[in-house]
Amino acid sequence: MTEKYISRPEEIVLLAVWKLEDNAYGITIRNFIQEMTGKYWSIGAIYVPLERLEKKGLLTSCNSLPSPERGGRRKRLFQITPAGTKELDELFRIHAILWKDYPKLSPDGNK
Amino acid sequence: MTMHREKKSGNRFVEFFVEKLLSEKYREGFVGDLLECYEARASDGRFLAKIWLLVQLLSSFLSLLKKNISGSVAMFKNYFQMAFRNLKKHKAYTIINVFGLALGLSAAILILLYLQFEISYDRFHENADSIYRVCIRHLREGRFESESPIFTAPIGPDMKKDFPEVEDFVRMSTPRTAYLAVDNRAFRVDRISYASPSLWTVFGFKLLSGTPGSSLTDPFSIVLSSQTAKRIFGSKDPVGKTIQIGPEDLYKVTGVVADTPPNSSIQFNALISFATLYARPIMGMDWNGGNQVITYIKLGEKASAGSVAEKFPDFLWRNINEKIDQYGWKYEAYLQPLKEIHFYHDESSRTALVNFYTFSAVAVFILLIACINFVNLTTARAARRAKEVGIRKVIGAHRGNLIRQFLGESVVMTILAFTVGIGVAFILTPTYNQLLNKELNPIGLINLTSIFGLFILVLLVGVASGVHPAFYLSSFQPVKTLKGVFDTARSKKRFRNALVVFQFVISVTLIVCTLLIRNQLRYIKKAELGYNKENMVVLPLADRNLRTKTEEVRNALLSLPGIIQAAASSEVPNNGFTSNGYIPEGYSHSIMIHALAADEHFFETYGIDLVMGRNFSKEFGTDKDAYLINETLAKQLGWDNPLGKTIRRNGDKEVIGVVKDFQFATLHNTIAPLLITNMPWRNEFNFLTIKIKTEDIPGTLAAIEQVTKKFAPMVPFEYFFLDDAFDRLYRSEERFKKIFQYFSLLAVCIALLGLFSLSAYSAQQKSKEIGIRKVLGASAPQILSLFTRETIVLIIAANAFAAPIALFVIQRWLGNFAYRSGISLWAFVLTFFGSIAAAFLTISYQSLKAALKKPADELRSE
Repeated sequence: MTEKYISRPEEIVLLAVWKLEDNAYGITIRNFIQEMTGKYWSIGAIYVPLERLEKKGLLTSCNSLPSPERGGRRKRLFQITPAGTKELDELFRIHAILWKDYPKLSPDGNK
Repeated sequence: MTMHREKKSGNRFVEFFVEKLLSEKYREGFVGDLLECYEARASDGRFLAKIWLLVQLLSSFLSLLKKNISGSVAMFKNYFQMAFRNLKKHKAYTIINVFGLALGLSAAILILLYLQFEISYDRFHENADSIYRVCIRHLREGRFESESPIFTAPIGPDMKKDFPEVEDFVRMSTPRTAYLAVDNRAFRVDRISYASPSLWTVFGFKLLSGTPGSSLTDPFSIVLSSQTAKRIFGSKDPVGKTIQIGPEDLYKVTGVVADTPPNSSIQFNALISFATLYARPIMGMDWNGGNQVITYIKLGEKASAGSVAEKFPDFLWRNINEKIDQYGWKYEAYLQPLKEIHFYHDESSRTALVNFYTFSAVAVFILLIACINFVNLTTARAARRAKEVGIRKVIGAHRGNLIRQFLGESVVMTILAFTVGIGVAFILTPTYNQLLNKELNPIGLINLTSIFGLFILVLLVGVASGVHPAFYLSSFQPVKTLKGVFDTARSKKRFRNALVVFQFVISVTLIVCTLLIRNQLRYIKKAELGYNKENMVVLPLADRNLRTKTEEVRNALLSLPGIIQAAASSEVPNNGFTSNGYIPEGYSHSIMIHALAADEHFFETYGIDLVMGRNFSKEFGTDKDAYLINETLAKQLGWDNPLGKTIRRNGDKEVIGVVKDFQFATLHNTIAPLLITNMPWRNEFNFLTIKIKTEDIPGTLAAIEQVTKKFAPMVPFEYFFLDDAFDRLYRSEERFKKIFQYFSLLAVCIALLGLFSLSAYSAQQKSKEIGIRKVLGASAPQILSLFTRETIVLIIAANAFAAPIALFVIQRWLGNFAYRSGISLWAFVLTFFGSIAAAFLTISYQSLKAALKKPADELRSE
């Protein structure tokens, strides 16, 4: 078990990789995050948490076959590891406990 | 297809950054992602896609960069924190180290100020790069005789006519001194030059009032420097006023010019229009007129000095060489870049250059000594910090981290020292200026290049003094240091000793040189000049009345009780006499001989003996056509009996006597051949030398003033003492000596400071050894000798190395003087024992303290 909780960007990226299953690479992850959160992330900014997550053993990555629309470059595909899914479970459990009694404080809180 | 090209150049840039910021396995994927998005957007519009790519790249890099440095920022913070903690913990060590470095740095800053001033000479003119001074070489029978920028008047205008490269020219006469009279009050003003109006456009001198176009155009117009204007007219506006110079000439003030900057090789207090010289020539103004004009030319933008130089021979042949060729004379010309005049072509260039190099070297040496101190102290303390290094390594510090930490520490120290050093330099600047007789301003250093230079200097000093400890300390084996196996390796100690020797080689060399310079200057002051310079008052005969009635003035003065004798002469022995061409009997061509015009009382007044023949005398009506010569001239001409021989210049004149040699120029030169005539130019003498009694000198001076006022009521009373004037000749050398002395002293102090802290360290390290030795029966003196022996050996070695270096350096310097004191062994012996005594005293404090401690205290803790 990781002793420390992962950071917010790491959490979001990890979740994105899990949801995208076999098609998780820079662009799809970025698009997913943008859709879900509405926030602008640069492609470079995606790689920062990706790198950290892989170092922590929550993700693995491998190269795809080269594709022509990318100037002959391969994609770096990411996949969640069992440790990663376990981390997600743990995070969900903690979130659920922590947020259970949360009242909607701000007037437009449930917008 | 265009896309492809762009990709290539863009990719290299992208890949460079990606390489630095992203680990290898993601690189390809990242770049691929970027290109995929780009291609997708490129279908909508290439331009927008490009902008998108740029924004994407920038923001990507920012986030990647943040990730990469956030760790090292913390590390850096830690380095500095550790550095400060270490420095605070060892206060004495820090203070000595910082203070030593601060002293060294402040000396370097002060010297830098001076060097910067010297370099800045003549650079304030906007056109400085294209201005040249025309210099003329005088050749005789094809042999070089002399060179000077002072030449005849027409060379400037004729060059402009004949050389397309020459855009403009400025003519300035040699500076002279005159009395400027306004409303019956006269002011003595020196450095007055005749100058052409092009001065305003060619040079960067600023006209404060008056118009550049017309201020130096009409004859008899004068422009005053603002200082001179203030002196004569006070706060009133001088423009339009009239000034009288000489008995009849009236000049109109047409402008006020800003005072010439101190870093200008052209200096003037007033300028008179060059046209005045044509209205009332004081010498011929054509090609074979008198040499009195300095010509500056400004070349056009594309012109090169080289192409002008090629045309000089033909130009000079046409204008002058053709006519003088039959006498064996020839002139050659070359161009001196304005910016080089100060260091290479000025009268004082030799001194300026020597001083420049000397002080640069001294600055470097002082900095070196201070840096060596730092390195020595830090390495010496290595043993204490070895444990710290060991623990850091065990915890996981890389060697690189340690190197950075130690470098950081020394950089912090140098920055601290630098701040202190700047403060000290600021405080010392007024004293320093007084010594140098300059007005250097540390604020002047504050411009971008200087700040950058100083910053680099700090970093260099920091890194230079940190580099050895950093690499040395970080190379320790952690296990060994923690076990305590660590010992100060012999080779490291040898390295430290070598540095100490080096420091003292520098210090000893500086001290020996200082002593020898002192010696030489004292020797000069006491040198036998061949005439009496004590109690001699010299009156410059500035006023026409004094000049025409010299004989009456002299008689009036002689009736005063305090006056022994008085004599009139064209010049006084001090800075050398002018020379003219003469044709001695038996010679077919003229030779240059220094000439003095003196009356018959001159030799008695000055105490100069006649070796042969007789003095001038009123009883012989023909003495106006007679010469006296000095021994050197007689010897040079090979005349065993010169009496009755003739020398020709405007007619044959007879030699009636030979006087003993006396030194009429500076002691940089040997006594030159001299010829004395009784007949001054225009029949007017320039100086009256009065030998006075030693009692009541103020009273005598007042009486002399009374007499001169009677003859020249308008002119302020002016006089000087001959020995003062003599001392002034060597003022620049005196100044050099003083500054050199202070900096040498400083170098020695810093070196001793280093020795002191080293001895403190070794006393601490050897405390146990001392304790044991004492228990075994060693006495305090024995322990003292144990400590000092090694250092004394180092100092002796340093002396041995320094002696030949000092000898070499000082011989070069003495080469400037024809009269040398000889290199006294004394300086070496004195420095030898002095340095040993100083070193001994420095280390004996710490050693004694260690030797007198109770051994029990030292040994108990184990």
